[in-house]
Amino acid sequence: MNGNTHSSPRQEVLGGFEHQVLLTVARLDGATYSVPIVLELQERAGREVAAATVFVTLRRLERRGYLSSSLADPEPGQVGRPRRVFRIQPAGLEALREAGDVLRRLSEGVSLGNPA
Amino acid sequence: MKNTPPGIPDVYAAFLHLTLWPWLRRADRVDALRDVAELRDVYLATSGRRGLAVYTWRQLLHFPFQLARPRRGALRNFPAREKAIMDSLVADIRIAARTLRRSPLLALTVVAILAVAISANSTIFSVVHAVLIRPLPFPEPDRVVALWNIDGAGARSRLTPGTLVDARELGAFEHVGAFLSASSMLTPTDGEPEIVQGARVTLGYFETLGRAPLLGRVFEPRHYDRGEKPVVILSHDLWLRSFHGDRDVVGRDLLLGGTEYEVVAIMPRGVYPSTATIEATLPLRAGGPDFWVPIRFQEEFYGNRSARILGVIARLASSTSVSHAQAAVAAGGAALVADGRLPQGDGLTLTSFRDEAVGAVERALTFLLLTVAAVLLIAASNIAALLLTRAESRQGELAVRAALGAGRWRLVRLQLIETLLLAAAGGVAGIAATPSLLDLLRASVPTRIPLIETATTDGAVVAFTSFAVLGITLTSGLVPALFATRRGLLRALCSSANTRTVGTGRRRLQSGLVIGQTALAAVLVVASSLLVRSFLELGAVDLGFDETRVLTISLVAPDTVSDDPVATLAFWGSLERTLAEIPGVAAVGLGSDRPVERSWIDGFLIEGAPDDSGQTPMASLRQVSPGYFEALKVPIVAGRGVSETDRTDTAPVAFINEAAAREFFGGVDPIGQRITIPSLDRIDFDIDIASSREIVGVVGDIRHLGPSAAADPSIYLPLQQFQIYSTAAVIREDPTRTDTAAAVRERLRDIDRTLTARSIEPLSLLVGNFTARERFATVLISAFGTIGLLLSAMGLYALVARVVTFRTREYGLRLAIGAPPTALLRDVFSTALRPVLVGVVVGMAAAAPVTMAMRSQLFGIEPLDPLSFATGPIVLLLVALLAASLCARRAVSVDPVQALRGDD
Repeated sequence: MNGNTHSSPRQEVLGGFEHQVLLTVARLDGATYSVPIVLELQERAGREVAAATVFVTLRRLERRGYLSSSLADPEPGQVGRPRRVFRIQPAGLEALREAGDVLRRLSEGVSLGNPA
Repeated sequence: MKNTPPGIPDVYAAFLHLTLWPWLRRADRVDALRDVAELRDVYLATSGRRGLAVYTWRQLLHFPFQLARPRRGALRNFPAREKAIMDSLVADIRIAARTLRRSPLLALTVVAILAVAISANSTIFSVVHAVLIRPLPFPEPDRVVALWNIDGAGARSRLTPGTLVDARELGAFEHVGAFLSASSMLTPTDGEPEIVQGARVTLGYFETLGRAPLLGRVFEPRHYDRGEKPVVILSHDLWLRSFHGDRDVVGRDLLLGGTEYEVVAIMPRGVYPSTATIEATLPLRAGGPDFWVPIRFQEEFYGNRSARILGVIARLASSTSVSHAQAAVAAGGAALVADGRLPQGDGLTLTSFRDEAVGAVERALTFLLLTVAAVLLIAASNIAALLLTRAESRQGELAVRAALGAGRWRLVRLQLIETLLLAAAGGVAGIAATPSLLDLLRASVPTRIPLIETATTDGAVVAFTSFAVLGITLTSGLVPALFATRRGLLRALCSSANTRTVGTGRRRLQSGLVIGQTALAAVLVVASSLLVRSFLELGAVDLGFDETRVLTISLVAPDTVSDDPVATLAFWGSLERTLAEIPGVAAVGLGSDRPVERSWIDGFLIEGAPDDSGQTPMASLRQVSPGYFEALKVPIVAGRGVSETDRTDTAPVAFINEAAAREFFGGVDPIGQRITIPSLDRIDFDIDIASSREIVGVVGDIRHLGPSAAADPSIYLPLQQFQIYSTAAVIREDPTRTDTAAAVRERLRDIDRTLTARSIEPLSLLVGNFTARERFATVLISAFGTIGLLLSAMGLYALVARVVTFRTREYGLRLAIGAPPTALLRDVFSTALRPVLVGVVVGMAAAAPVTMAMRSQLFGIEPLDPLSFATGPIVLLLVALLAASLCARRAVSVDPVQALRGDD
């Protein structure tokens, strides 16, 4: 059911939500985990998403090579499992640039005007 | 659930695992759950508990849709074939969801029925899981056993200290420990004194259970020495209740019964035996013991081979199996008999600790689970009938899909997915309702169901419910789906809607479903009415005293008098007079025990009677004050009652009940006879207590142990001719007053503030506890029986209504050509009654073995009680008549012209 004609999965177009998540990672100094992303999305995009949904998306972006991940070193005094931290990769930055270009090109010359 | 981070409820974690499964591997899911937990902490900190709850519910509703939105590449890396199947499944789910949205009423009905049935099942299952399935909360619980003495007749009893020592030498056990119940007055530095219940234990008790303390360390061998400073271990509950969970309490001293004890450890919540009854059972106290102290017997006490007072538990040695240990114990017992350390005919035996703890409720809970399962089956067959009806109305659609190339499997799968969606929605609603139902159940449950407080809606309950959902999908979805996709589908395309006279097969199937439902409902009705009748019988038993408007309170002599037995007796005497003067008190008495409690059972001899049977007569022994019988309205049958003049300096007397008079004196008048109670000589009292006494009165029988136990032979001694440290007051209220309890409490506090350490309870409440378990089972099974009956009535109504709708044209025609309305009525009624009659017959046949299996749960009634068996058919036939008459009105009010002209 792989409907895309591109040879490499890297070149798949970023979905809307993926785009937002990837942008947020870049915004949060390029290395972060799902909780700050949820809070950031809520703050800046006004949308409430589940941490698990963000996690699923992060993992998917990692599979496409846009992100890399590792388990964080436990902080002193921290109990329980360490968190999985995601870092943005050059391919991810490239994908963000491309997606931004697409949006810009599409917006060119479009008059949005004021709502009636 | 394993790997669940703290801060996520188990149900929520299970839900997340389930919904994330297609997207993430297990390790990833664990990482994701960690982040979810952290985010919940953030919400808790910023919006409080309420905010978190609102957020959780919003997430629960939105989250699956959030996940489902991105399509391509969204799923985790399944192998290609599985991926193709998953993708086509996702497509089918979309179609199914669209279809369901088009008939919301049907969808809602099905979901509601399922939610009721599933929540009942999940709730009862979570109790069964907590009580019967989950291992007891200590390491390797299967290796923990209880040890008992057993006599030639097979009757069990507790062990003597001497036998405890012998048992340790058998070699079959890693640890052997004993315990005795204890109660004491805890006097905190601030706050009210409180009576606490606990256990005195020997070395080996904690080692057998194998639980590590939450804080501190369990008793060391030196703690059992009499010279050492007294030490105590506190239960988790007492620690929270009286010390607010202060971790520094370990190492501190506290005042227990006037003595300073050093706290050495806090035990976690769990299952701890603290008392073994004289009948050799190990009842678990609700909430468990409050404290443990070491038994500090003098060395020679361990040579005692006559006092059977110890409850004993043991942990099997690692190399020993239960059967091997049983054999070793039996052989060891025989050896003890051989060298004279156990009496002839006696022996030793062991039982599994689990059976001791929860064996008594196993059967009742299993019945309950079967009942809710029957309700679920009725619900499932109801839904099958609903879906069958719908399958009929969408023949056209299915035929089109088939014509466009959908194979039969695809069509069946499509319908199964629809059913699965409905069932899953019902399952989610059912699970969501379970925690509240569980709270409700726990609030109404008798304390005699051990471990019920540990029941939670956890992963196992979610798994059970998922199974139920799958089961429902298969049972109620598959048959209609197969029916709808039979060969000949294309014919349906050609036929117009109003020539639908086919469907006999389907109607037969629906009748079959109604028969099944009716049969199950009949069994439920019969079982419920048997239990109700049995419960009524139980409630009708005369206990021998009048418990209405009687208050009772357990009292312990205050420290000011407790050292001096004479002063203590004087204290009880003046206390009784003081209480009697309180306005609102109609009568008052003091007894050694509350009337609803087991007391001391002892042997006695009738002086002058030939000792030929070799059997010592046994009777329960109680001490009562002059007002006791009057306060309880117990009749004096012969002779006199206890009098103010029965004191240590007057003639020693005794009173017996009618049961004792019947059993031990036959036709002879017991008044004036003398009895001897030898153990009164053997006990080292501080005052002179005569063992030889004249019987001066016979009183009515009291069933001290509740309605299901016959009144046992009893001997009552005057309180003032005994040495007694704690008593129970029974206070009859003046029926015109409502403030008696408060007045009594105030007066007691004025006398000594430790007297109110226990609460004043209405005796009727304690009497109600006798039948609490029966009431619990009766109420629940009748409630579920009613739900089952209602569901099957709905199923029946649906069948009849459907037949009437389908035959509207026929009825119209028949009316038009002059058929009398009664002919149509007969038709409708026979449609309704035929399957019900068959169902009732099948149900009655099935009910007989079911009720026979219930025999041990019944009181005063036979399992094949004709009245209960008559109730089933009558109730069901009435329901059938009601359903039929609702439809019959519609049938005879058909307008012939409309019906014939109508092209539907």
